[in-house]
Amino acid sequence: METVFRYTLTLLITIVAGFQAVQVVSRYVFETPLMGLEEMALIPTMWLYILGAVNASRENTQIRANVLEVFLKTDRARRWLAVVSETISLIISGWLTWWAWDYFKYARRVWKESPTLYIPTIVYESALFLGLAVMTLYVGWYLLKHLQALLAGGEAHRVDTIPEPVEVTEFELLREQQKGEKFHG
Amino acid sequence: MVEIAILAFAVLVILLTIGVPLPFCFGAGLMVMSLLGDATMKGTMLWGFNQLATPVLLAVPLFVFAGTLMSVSGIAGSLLRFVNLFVGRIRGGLGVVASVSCAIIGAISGSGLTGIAAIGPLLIPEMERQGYPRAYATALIANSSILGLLIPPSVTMIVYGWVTETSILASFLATLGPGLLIMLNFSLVNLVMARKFPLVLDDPKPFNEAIREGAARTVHALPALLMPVIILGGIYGGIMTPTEAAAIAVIYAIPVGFMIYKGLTWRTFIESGKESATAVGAILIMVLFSLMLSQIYVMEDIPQALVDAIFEITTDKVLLLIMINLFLFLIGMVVNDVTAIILTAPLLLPLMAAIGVTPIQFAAIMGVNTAMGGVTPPYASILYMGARIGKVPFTQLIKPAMILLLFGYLPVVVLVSVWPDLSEYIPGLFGY
Repeated sequence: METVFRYTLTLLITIVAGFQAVQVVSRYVFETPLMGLEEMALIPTMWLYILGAVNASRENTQIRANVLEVFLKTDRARRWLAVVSETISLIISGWLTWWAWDYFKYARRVWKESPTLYIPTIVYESALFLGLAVMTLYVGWYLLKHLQALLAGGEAHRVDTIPEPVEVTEFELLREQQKGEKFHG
Repeated sequence: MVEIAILAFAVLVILLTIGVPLPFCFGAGLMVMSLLGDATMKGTMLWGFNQLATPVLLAVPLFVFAGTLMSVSGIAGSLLRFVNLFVGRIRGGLGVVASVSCAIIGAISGSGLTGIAAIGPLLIPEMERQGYPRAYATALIANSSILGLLIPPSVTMIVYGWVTETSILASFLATLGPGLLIMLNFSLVNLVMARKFPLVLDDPKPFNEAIREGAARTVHALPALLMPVIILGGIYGGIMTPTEAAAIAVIYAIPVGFMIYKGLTWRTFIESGKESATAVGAILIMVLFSLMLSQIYVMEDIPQALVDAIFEITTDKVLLLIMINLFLFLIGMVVNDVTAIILTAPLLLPLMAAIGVTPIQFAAIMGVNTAMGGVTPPYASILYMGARIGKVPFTQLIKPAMILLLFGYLPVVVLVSVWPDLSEYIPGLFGY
C-alpha cells in the first residue's frame, strides 16, 4: 500500500503542477490560454487533496493537538486516551461519511458536467465519499490496534517522553538526505 | 442558536485537547450544530467541497512541494557558503549566517520546518566547532526557522487570505516587514550572546583566494537564489498568480535538483511528492470541515455576536489587542499555525474591523503570533525538530530558545500591534 500511495500522490502533485505550468506558458509565451485546462486540472487536484488526507490517516499522521497526553505519565494511561480519542474519531468520521454519501448520491442524480469539456463532475466529487469511507476504516483499524494493546494487559510503565507533533516526522527525508554533506565556513 | 454555537466550539476544544485529529474536531462541531441546532449538512458539504476547488488553495501543495524539492536537492550547503561570504569572518557571524539563511530558505519554501531541517544538520556541527554551545546553536536555527512562515511565500498567509477573503499578495507582504525585523533582531541578539562564548574563528584567507572563492560560491548559489526571484518577481510583477508561481517553482526545482545540485534522486523525488501531498492532505481535509463550520457560524451571525459580547467587556483598542495577542499566543501553544488561523481568523476578523485594524495588519498579527507557536511548547513542532536534528535534549533547548524569543521575537509581536506601518507600508508600495 505504501508503494501505491507513494507513486500515486507524486504523480498527482506533478500533474497538477504541470497543468498550471502549461497554462502559464500558453498564456504568456504563446498568448493563447488553453480553454478547459482548469476543468481538467480539477480532477487530479481534488483527488490529490483527498488521497493525501487518506494517506495521513493510513500513516496516523493527521494533525492533532495532544495537550492532555503531555500530562499522562504512564503508557497505559496514554493508551486509554488513544482508545477514547479513536472511538470518538470513529463516530464522527462515520457521521461525516454518511453525509458525504448523501452528497455523492446527489452528485450522481444531478450528473453535472463542466462547462467547456463536458467532464462529469462526479469524477472528482466522488473523491470525498470514497476518501472519507477509507479514512473511517483506518480510524477503526487504529482503534483495534490500541484496544489490542490495552487488552494484552501488563503493568503500567512510566514514560518520560513528551509526545512530538506529527509534523516532526514528516521531514525524515531531509535529515536522511543530508547525512553525508558537510559545511565549513 | 448562539448557545449551541458556543457548545459546538467547547466540544471542538475538548476533543482537540484529548487528541482527536483536528478534522474530526471540526466535524464534531458540525455534528453539534446539525443535531442540536437547525444547521443543515446537505448544502453545507456541497458548498464546502466546491470551495476546495478554488485555484488559490492549490498554491499550498505546490509551494510545499517546491520547497521540499529544493531542500532535498542540497541547496542548503551552497546557500550557507554564500551567506557566510558576507558575515562569516566577524565574531558571531555564523549565528548571523543561520538567521539570514533561514530567511532565504523562507523565500523558497512556505513552511516553518524547512529551515531547521535543511540548515540544521550542516550548520549546528560547524557552529559547535567554532565554540557555540550545541543547545544554543540548535535553538538559534530553530527560532530562525520561523522566518519560513513570515517571508513570502507562506502557506499560513495563503490560508489566512483565503479564509478571510483578503488579497493573498497583500497578506504575503504583511508579514515581510516583521519577518525581516525578526531576522535582524536574531542576528543582533546573537552577536551579543556570542561575546560570552569562547569562539575560535578561522584565519582570514588571502585577498585573491577570497575573491576567487567568493565568485565560485556565488555562482554555485545562483540557481537557488534565483528561485525566490522567479516566485516573488513573477507574482508581484503581475506575470503569474501565486498558484502559477508555485507551479513554475516546482517545474524549476526538478531540473535544478537533478542536474545542478544533484541531491535530488528518483527515490527522493517520489518521497518528496508523497510527503508533501500527505502533509497538505492533512491540512486541507481540516480546512474543509473548518470552513463548513465557519460558514454555519457566519450564517447564524456568530462572529457579530462575539464582537457584541466582547464589546460589553471593553471597547478599549489597546486592551483588546493585548487580549487578542495573548489569546493567539495561547492558541499557538496548543495547535499548529494553519489550525490556529482557520480556527480563529474568521471569528476575530469582524472584531478587528470594529476596532479599526485592517485585514492586512491583522494578517501580520496572526502571522507573527501563530508562527511563534512553532517554538512554544507543548505544540512546538519546530523546536522538537531542532532537538532531533541537533541531538540535544528538548529541555536544554527551552532556555536559549526563550531568550531569543524574548529579545528577538516578542518586541516585533508588540510592534506589529502598535505600529500598523510595519505591516502595511510594504503592501502599500504595491498598491494594497
